[in-house]
Amino acid sequence: MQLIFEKSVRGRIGASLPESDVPERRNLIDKELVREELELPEVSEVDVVRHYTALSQRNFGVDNGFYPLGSCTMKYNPKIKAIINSKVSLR
Amino acid sequence: MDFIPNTDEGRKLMLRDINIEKISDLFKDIPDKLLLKENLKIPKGLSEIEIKDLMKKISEKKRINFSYFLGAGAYKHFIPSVVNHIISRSEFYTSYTPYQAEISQGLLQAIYEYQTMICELTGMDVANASMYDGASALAESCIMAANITKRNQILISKTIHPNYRQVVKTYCKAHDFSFDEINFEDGLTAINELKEKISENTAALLIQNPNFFGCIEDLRKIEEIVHNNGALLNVCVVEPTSLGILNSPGSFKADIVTGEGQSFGNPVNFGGPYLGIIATKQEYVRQIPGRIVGATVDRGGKKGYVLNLQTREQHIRREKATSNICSNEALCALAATIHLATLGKSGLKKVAELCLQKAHYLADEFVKAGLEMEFKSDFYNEFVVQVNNAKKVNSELLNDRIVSGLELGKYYSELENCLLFCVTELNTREEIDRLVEVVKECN
Repeated sequence: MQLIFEKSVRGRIGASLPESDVPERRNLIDKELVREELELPEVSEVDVVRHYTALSQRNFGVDNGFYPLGSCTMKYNPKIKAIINSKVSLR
Repeated sequence: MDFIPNTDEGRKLMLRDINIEKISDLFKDIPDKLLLKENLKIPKGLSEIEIKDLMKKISEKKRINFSYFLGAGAYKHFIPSVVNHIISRSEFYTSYTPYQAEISQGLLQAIYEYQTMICELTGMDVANASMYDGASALAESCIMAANITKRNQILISKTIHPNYRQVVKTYCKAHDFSFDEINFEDGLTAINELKEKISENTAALLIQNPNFFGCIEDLRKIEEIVHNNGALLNVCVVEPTSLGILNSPGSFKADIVTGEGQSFGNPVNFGGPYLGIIATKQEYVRQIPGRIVGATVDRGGKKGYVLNLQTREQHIRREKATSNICSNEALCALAATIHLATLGKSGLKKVAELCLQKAHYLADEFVKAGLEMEFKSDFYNEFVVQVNNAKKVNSELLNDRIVSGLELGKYYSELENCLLFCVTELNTREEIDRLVEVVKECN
C-alpha cells in the first residue's frame, strides 16, 4: 500500500481554517529563523479517511479476536467505558 | 457488563481440564497467612444503565464554556473531526504493540508515516516510534548524550519548563550525572553563563525552543558554543505547532531533538495521555531509546514494515538496553499523524501563523492597557506579562469563566506577579478583548 506522502497532490488540504480576525503584524520573527520548506502531505479529508481506514483493515485488535501477547496486553473493555471516556463534557 | 464472562459451567470445565478441584487450589503455593480470606471492600459492579446515570450526574458538575489562555506545556488546539473518527476504529484502539508484524501492518505503516513526519518537522534523520511524553523524552536525551560523548555533565537552561527539569533529574537519578542550570537574560538562555559553565566534561546542553516563556532562542549562537566544546545540542520542542513557522532544530545543527506532541491531534485531558517525541542524526541511531519502525520487503518482494532496533530489556540484557523505562504511545502517535496529514503543509503553517498573530494581538492590547511585558525578546504564542497581583487577577478571571495564564512566582522567585499567557488559533478576538477588559478592571 502507498504511503500517505505518495498520495499527496500539491494544493490539497484536509481541513479548513478561519481567516485571522486580528490586525496583521509583519516581521515578528527574525527572517533567518523562519522556515521555508515543510514537506507534509497535501491530501483532502476523504483521502485521509480512506487511507487510514484501509490501514485499520490491515490491523488486528482485541475486537477482531484473541490477542495473546505480552503481560501488558490490552484486554477487552466494555464499550460503555470508551463512550464515557470520550465524552467531551467529561474532559 | 462483566469484565470476565465465564460461567460456572465454564469454570468447572477449565478446572477439570487442568486436574484441580477448586479455584483456591491455584493459590496453594501462597502461605495461608498471606491469603486474603474475605472479599475486598469494593462496592458491587454497576450495570450499564446505572453507570450512565452516575456519569451523567458527574458531568453535570463540570463547569463548561470557559475561555482558555493557559498553555505552559499543554495546548488547546483545533483537532479536525477526522482524527477522532479514525482513532475510534477499534482495529486501532484495541490493538497491542505491533510485535507481530504479520497482523499489524496497518499500525506499523502509520507509525512509519509518523516517524517520517517527525523527521521532516525536526530536521533530523531518524525518529523513534514515540515515547511517554516530552519530559521523559528529554531525560532520555541526556542518557543518549552521555553514552555518545562519554561525559557526564548536563547543562540545563532555566528557560526549560520547570516540570521537565524536575522529571529529567528524577529520571536520571541512577546515572552519575552532574546537572548545572543556566540562568536567563531577557527571557533567553544567558549566553555568557553558558560560556562559563560549559566544560570538557559537558555531554549536552538542554534547551527548549520556543522556551518556557514563549521566547524564541537564537540557536545559531548557542550551537557554536556547544559544538566548539565537543558537547551535544539537545533541543526540546514543547509547543510543536511552532515548527510550522520556525526553522527546524536540525537546521541549527541540533544533535538530538525531543518534544511533546500533544498539540498534534491530542486534546488537553486531565493530565494525559501525552506523546513523547525523540529524533536524532543517523550516526546516533543505535543510541535512540525504544524502537523504530523500519520498511523492508518480504520473501515475495512485497513492501512491509517491522519493529527495528528494539534495544529494551525485553530483547537484550538489561544493562545493555538503551532504556528500560520507555514505551511508545501508538494511539497518540496515530492521532498526531492523522492530524498532520489532514492539516498538511499549508494547514500547519496557517495554524502557526494564527497562533503568532493572535498572541501578539493580546500582548499589544495588554501594553495599550498599561501592563508591562516582562521580556522584550521575540516570542511565538506565549509571553510573560507583569500584573500587580497575579493571584487576584487569576481568581477574578476565573469568576468570569476565563482560564488565565500561569502564575510564574511558584516556579521562579524573581517572577513574582508575572503571568505566562498562551494564545492559539482557537482564541477569538472577542475572547481576547474580553480578557483584556477584565484584567484592566481588576489589576
